[in-house]
Amino acid sequence: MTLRTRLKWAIAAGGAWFMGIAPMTAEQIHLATLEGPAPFSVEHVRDRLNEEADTGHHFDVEAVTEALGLLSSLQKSEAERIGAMWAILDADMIAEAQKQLTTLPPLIHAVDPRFFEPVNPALITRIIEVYGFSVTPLAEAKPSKKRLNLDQRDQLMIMLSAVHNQLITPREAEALMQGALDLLAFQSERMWREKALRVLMTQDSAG
Amino acid sequence: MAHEGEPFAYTITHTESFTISTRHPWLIAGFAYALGAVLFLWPMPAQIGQVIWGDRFDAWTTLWLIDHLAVRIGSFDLAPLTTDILYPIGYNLWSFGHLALQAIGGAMVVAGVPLVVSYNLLLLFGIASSAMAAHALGRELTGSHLAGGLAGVVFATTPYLYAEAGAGCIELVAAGVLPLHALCLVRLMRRPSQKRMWVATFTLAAIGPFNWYYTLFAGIFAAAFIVWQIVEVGPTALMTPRQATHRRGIKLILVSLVLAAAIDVPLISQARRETPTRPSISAELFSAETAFSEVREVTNGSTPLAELTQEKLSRVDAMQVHFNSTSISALLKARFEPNPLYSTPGRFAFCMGLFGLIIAGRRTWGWLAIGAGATVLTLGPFLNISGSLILPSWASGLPLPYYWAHEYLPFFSKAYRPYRIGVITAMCLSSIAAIGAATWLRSVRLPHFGLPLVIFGLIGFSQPHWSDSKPASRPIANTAVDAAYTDLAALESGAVIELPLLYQPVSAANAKTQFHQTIHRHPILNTNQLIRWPDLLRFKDYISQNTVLQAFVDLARRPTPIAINTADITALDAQGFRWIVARRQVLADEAELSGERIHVDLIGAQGWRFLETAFGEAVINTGAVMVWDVRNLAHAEATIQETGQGIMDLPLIFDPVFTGFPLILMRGQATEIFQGDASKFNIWIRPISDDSAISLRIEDGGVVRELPLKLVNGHWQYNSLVIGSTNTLKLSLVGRSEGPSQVMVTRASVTK
Repeated sequence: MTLRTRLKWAIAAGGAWFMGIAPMTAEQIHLATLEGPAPFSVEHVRDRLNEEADTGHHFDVEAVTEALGLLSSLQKSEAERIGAMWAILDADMIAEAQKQLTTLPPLIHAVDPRFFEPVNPALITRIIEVYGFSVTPLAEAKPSKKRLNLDQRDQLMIMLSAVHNQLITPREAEALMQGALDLLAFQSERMWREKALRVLMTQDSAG
Repeated sequence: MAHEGEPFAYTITHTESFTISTRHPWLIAGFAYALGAVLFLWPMPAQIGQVIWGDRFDAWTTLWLIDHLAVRIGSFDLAPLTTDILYPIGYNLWSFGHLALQAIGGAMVVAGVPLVVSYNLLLLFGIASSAMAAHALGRELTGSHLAGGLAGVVFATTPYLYAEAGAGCIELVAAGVLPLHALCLVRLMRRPSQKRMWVATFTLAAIGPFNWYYTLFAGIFAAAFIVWQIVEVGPTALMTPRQATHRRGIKLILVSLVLAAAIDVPLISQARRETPTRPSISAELFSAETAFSEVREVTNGSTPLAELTQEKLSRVDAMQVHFNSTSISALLKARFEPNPLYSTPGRFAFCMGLFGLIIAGRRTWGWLAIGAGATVLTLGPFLNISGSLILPSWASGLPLPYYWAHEYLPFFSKAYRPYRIGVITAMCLSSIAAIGAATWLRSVRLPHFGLPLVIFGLIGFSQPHWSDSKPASRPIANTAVDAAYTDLAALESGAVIELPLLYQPVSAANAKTQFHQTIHRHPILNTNQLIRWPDLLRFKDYISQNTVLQAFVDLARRPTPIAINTADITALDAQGFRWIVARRQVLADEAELSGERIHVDLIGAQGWRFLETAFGEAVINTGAVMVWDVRNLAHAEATIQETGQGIMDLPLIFDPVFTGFPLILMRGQATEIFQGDASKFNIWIRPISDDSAISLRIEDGGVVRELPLKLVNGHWQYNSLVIGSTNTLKLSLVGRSEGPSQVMVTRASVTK
C-alpha cells in the first residue's frame, strides 16, 4: 500500500470514526441513560387494591384510598387550570402556534427531577423570558369547544409555541403565567403525594 | 544521523525533505510553543497580572502556596509546619505533595515578579515546556524536528492539560516531565551507557518533588516500556549474544528505576501525607445511592461537622476513585472539556494518533499498546459506559485492571484519580503522530510537511476558542480583592476567621479566602486543605471545643436557633483570634447552579443579626465586607441566642434554590412578593444581564415609594433595606432598566 493510499485510509477512517461511529454510539449511550425507572402508575395501585381485596391487603387500605382520592382531585384541578389557560388562546392563535411548533427549542427541564413533567416549567421560563415576570388572576375554566382532541401535553406545547412566537399580548401572558404557576403548584403537590404513596406501598409490601 | 547498532524498528532515518534549514531549530520550536501557549490560554495572557483561570479551589490554594513559599524563601524558614492557615492547629506543607514548581514561583516572587504574574507564567511555562519535551521525544524517535513538532503540538494541546490549567493544578500542567523521562529511556535503550542511566535515574527522581502523580505514571510507563522491549525481541531471543545491547538497555533501565526509588525513599513518607492510606474500593459502594448521597453531602459541606467520622470520610475517599474515572461515553465524545473530570486526550490527539497508526503501521504498535493500556486504566475500577455518577449494578461483575492494581499493587492507589493516567495515553498518541509524520517526511510524493504542521499547530493551540463549549470564552477569575482586606492588614495582629466557616472548598468565593491571607497577612483558621481526612478530623476536634466556632461552621445554611456561650468569645481571643470577617458581596460561581450550594456563602438575615448581637458594630465596613473585633463587646449575659423570631422568610417562586426559574422584569413591570407588616426587607440578589436595575416598591397606605436595590455584576449582593413603617405594606420588585432586568434572587425575608 502506498503512503498516499494510507493517507487516504487515515482520512477516511478518521472521518468515519469521529463524524459517524463515535458520536452516534455516544448518543445511543446518552439516550439509554435517559430511560429512568418505570413510571409510577396510579392505575397499578388501583389494580392492586382490587386484586388483593379478597386475599388481604399488604398495605394500609385506608391511607392508600385517601391518597388516591387526593391524587384524583389534584388531577382534576390540573385539568381545570389547563382548560383555563387554553381558553386564553383563540382559534387563530392555536392554528398559528400549532404551525410554528417546530420552531421551539428543546425542553430544558426534560430530566430535571424537581419537576413532574417538562412542558409547564418550560412554559413558565419562556413567559418570564419573553414577557417578564408578572401575573394577573386567571378565572376558572368554562367548558370549551377548542380542545381539538388534544391531550394536555399537546395543549401545553401549543401554549409554549404561542409564547415563544409572541402570539399573545402581555396581558394574556400575565394570565397565562398565573395559570402555569397554579398548575405547577398542583403538579408539585401531586409529585410529592405520589412519591409518598410509592413509599407507603413499598414499605408495606416489604413488611 | 542514525546511531550505530540501532536496534529499533521505530527509528526512522533523517529525511532530506526537511527544508526548514536553520541553525537554531530548538530556539524556533521554543518560540513557537511559547506563542502556542499564549494562544492556548488566551485571554488570560492579555491580563496576566490581574486574572487567573480559577475554575476550582486549587487555583487560589496554589496562589497562596507560591506566596507562602516566597515568604519562607525570603526568611530562610524551611520548617514544614505553618499556622498561616488552619490556625492554630497548623498544616504540614508536605501535605501539598508538590512543592518544587510552586517554590520556583516563590523564587520569582522573591525576585520581584508579582504573585499573579508568577502563577500565570508558570502555567504558560507548563504548556510550552510540555510541548518542548514531547517535541524532544518525537525528534529522538524520528530524527526530525518537524515530526517532533507534531508530537509537541499533540501533547501540549490536550483538553487534559487545558482543564488542569483551568483548575489551577500547575504541577499537573507541567506534564513535560513524562515525555522527558520517556526520552531518557528511549536514549538509554538505543545506546545503553552508565551516563544515560544516571540521567534517566535523576530525571525520574527529580519528578517526585514536582509531582508524585507523575512519578508513579513515569514508573508505569517505564514498566510497560520494558515489557514492550522484551516482547518485541522475544524472551528467548533476548538471551542470545546478538541481543546483548538490548539486554543491557533493559538492565540499565531497571537499575535506573531502582536507584530513583532509592533516592526518593526519604520523601515517600512525606509524599504519603498528600494521599493518606487509601480505603478499599468496591462496586457495591459505587452502586449505592445512599453512598452517593453521603458523599455529595460531605463534599457540599452540608453534613454537620459533628457527624463526620473516619469511616464516613474513608467512603468519601473511596468514591473519589469512581467519580474521577473516565467513561466509554467520554472517550467516544473526546470533547474539549474544561472540567478535568471529563477530560480525555481529546479528538485532536486521537485523530493524530490514528493518522500516525495508519501511516506508519507496525512501527507505532509499541506506543499504541502502552497508550491503549493507559486508556483502560483511566476507565477506573469498574466499567462505566455512560459516565453515570451511580455505577449500574451490572458493572460490579466487570472489574477492570485498575481495580486489581489499586487493591494489590503497592503505591498504585496514589493514582486515585484514574482520568489523569490519560496523560500517558496523550504522550503515546503524540509519539505515534510523530512517527506517522516522519513516514510522511520520507515520502517524495507527498507535499512537504511544513505547512500541515503549521495548520495542525494552529488547530491544536486554538481548540479552546472554537471546540465544543469553547472553554476559552468562560469567565476568568479576577484576583482583585475588596479594600477591606488591605484595611485589615493595617489592623493589630491577631488571627482571622472568615465566615461562613466551611470544611470543604464548596464555592469559589469561599476558596478565595486562602488568597485573602496573602493580602492581610494575619493567620486564618479557614483553609481549602481539609479535603484530606486526617486534617479534617483534627479541625473537627478543635471546633467541637468552642460554641462560637460551632456556630460559625456553615453559618449561611445553619438553621436557627443559633446559640453560643459568651465565654467562648473570650476563649477565642485567648487563643489568638481577633478578627471576624463576613461578606455581603459574594463572587458568583457557576458551581452554585446546583440549588443546594447557592446558600453556602449567602448569610441570611438571621445570621447577620446574630453577628451584630455577638460582636457589635463592625470595625471595617466597606459595604462588601464587614470585619468585627472579638474584643468589641463585653457581654454580661452567659449565652447569646438567635432564634429567628420576627424574621419571616419569603418563599419566592423564582428563587433558584427551589425552581431555577429566572426573574426578568421589563421596564416598569412589577411583581408582588409580600403583603403584611415589615420594618426591613432583606434579599440576596445577583444580576444576570449587565444593565439590570431593580427597585423595591413599597405601597404603604396611600403612599407608594421605591428603594433601589444594589446590584453588582458577577456578584451576589446582600441588600437590607429599612422600610420604616408600622402600616400593612405591599412590597413588589420593579424593573427599572431600559431593557429587561434579569436577576437571580434568594434568601428574601422581611423583619417585622
